[in-house]
Amino acid sequence: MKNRFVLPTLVFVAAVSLGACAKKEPPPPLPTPVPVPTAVPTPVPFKVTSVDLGKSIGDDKKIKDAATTFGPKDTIYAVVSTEGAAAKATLKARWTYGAKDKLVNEESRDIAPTGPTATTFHVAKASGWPVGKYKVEISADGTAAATKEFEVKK
Amino acid sequence: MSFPDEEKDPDFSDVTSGSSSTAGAPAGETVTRTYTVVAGDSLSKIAKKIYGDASRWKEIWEANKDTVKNPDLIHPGQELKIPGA
Repeated sequence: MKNRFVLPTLVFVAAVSLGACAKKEPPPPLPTPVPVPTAVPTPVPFKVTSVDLGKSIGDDKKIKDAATTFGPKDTIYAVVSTEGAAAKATLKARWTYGAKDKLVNEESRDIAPTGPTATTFHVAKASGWPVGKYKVEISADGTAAATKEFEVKK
Repeated sequence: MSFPDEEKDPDFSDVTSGSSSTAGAPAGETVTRTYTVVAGDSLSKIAKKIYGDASRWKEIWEANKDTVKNPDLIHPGQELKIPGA
């Protein structure tokens, strides 16, 4: 009778002991990662970098046929290249004729650049441009940025 | 500066113009282009220049009613907002 209880008890104790032995210590907590400071890029201020004139533009919106002399029936393109970012920037092209700077055309475009951009302005005159000297003045946010002179010849 | 070949008083009212940009428009803005009136312009002439359709002059007038009370009365040098262009 006594043996009937002793044996299961020993088995139970042995099992519990083995279980306890098999238990591993929990791994130590990983060290909290130290945040690595990331370099914040310095924002490039928005500015006009160049103005190019020509008779046509390519698919990349760049001048294809650069020119400073045009024919009376030509369409005249001015591509304004800029760099920098801005939530809103206004580019204006003011085209004038002759010594008295007679206004030919003036228009502006609002853009939200996030990097280098190309903005194109163009003018055409179905009845033909009068011969003479012309200017296109480009301003950015109301500040003169560049002036290009060109000529129309027969 | 003198330009011997220069015309005395040329008419530039039939000049057509346009613009485009690789940059997007500012957030929330539908009018991103303005046009400055030159001598000889009318709203229908401007609509013809910009849209190629003189009958769209009302769109320009609607966008500029705060400054253009009379659509037959615009002045050289006046800046107009050009919608949808």
